[in-house]
Amino acid sequence: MTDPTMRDPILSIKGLTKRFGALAAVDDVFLDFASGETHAIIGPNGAGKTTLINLLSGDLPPTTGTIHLLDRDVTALAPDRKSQLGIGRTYQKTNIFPDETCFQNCWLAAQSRLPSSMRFFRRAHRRADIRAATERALALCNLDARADVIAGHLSYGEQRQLEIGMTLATDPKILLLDEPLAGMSAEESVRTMALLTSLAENLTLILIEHDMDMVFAFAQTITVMVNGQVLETGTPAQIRASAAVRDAYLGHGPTEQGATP
Amino acid sequence: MTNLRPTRLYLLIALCIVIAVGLFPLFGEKFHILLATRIFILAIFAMSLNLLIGFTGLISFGHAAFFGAAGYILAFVAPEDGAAAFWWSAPLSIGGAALLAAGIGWMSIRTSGVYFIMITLAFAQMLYFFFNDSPYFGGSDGAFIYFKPSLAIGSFDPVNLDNRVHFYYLAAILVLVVWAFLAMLLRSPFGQVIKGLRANEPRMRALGYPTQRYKLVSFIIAGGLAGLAGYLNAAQSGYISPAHLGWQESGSVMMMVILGGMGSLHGPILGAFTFVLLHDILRDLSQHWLLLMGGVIVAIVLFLPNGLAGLFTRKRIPQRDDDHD
Repeated sequence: MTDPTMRDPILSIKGLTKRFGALAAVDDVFLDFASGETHAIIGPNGAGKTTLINLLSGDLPPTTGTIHLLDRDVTALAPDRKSQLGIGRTYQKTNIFPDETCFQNCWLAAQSRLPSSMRFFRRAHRRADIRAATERALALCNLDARADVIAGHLSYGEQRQLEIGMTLATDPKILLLDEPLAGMSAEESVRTMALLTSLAENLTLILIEHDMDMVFAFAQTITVMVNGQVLETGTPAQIRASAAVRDAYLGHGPTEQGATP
Repeated sequence: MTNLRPTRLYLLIALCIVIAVGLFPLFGEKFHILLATRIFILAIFAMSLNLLIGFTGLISFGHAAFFGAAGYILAFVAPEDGAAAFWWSAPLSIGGAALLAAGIGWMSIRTSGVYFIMITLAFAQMLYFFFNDSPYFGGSDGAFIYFKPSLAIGSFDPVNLDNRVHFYYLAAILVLVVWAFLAMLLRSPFGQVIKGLRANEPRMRALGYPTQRYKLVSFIIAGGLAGLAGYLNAAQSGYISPAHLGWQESGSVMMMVILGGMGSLHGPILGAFTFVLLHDILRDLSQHWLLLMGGVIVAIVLFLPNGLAGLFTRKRIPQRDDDHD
């Protein structure tokens, strides 16, 4: 069934499968991600959500299946090539350079957009264009006031913001977010949600999240995965109405968080 | 936070060292001048390995391959009845070592961790046995370089490497040149990338850096610098043998880097200085000197995790560099 609001897919996966030995972590998945949409992937632990993100980002090569970015086959490309084509990602486990300042973390990310960093003679920090991109990313993730703080000294929530800021500094078209709110305090969640909402205006967001309130309020499309397979894809209303989803994932009782409208 | 950038005190210490190094040949005995020259050469060698271990995060255990190969290249191209010209033999040795590093590195960087250590060691040992078993290169006896390279340009010949004081100054200046080269490299975009590789390679790849390419280029630069050290070593001693590219030599230079401080620009210089002096002092003290040497190294590793360089630098607060073009 095609959604009438569906725009051209920017990212399209067909028959995507990843096997670890006998286990199919991602099993014959077909999905289209519309340009500019916010698409959440939910499902119980072990459903294959993070594996799917790793396949999209190139961190893992798929066993079979294809990934197309617009018309281009990007199935087998390494993470650095995917990043250069505009697919940026953040990690579930905060993945920053803890001994460097926020500024330097974002700088390193922004510098990756130089045609080549095989430049040996000039001082790196003299590039005005990279400096501007760095400062833009710091402002976006609300860390401009913390630019000179060592990343390892930030609060957990701020480190998560920096994680997003670094990826933003690479100027992605598609942002893959693996549990952006995990482990955040309520206040930090609110701040990060505000950031994601502002990003959603210009980027295609694909995110994994366990906070059902957030997912149903924020996402335009929700995909439910169970045992490596796509159980259902649709608007939040469609997902909420789906009997299959209720049975498999959201639980049977009306007390389950997020399941009740 | 207080500003802990190089202070006047640092500049003062640096000035004292430069003056001491500059005046030393006026007072030093012949033996000590030769010893100091050897320390300079090993300092270049250790700095080259530190680019890999301390800054790129590549633990190469076969770094002597490039040191020794450069020496063999000099022995091979030097005429038997006269001096080789420094101006072409040095670039040839350095280029040869860099080319060798490109080949070995191209295969080695596909591995990581313990496998990288083993594969670099294996390549160096292959080279060791190649030279050891080739009568053409002198076999296990090694090869001789009968004349020190000449720095003459036409009839202009201000530096005579047969004069040990001249050699001493050349080696000292080259330590400074290599140090400055590395300082510049580490501040460049390339340097930022390799430091990121050491901290977190997968993250660098996710940020869009083709990490293998940067590792390979770093490996080639380090190989070329090791080649410079190997060239000077062969020129000074007039002799090159398979032992120069064996695993003991790779182990010694690694110890200099660890002693001095990985990831510190001047650490390997301190390390080479300490290693050679310890070696000489302890050897005179007891025939069981290797045991003592081991004890000193264990003590330094345990109590000075940042090496000797850690004694002199407090933990630096990284500074945002605010000068624009």
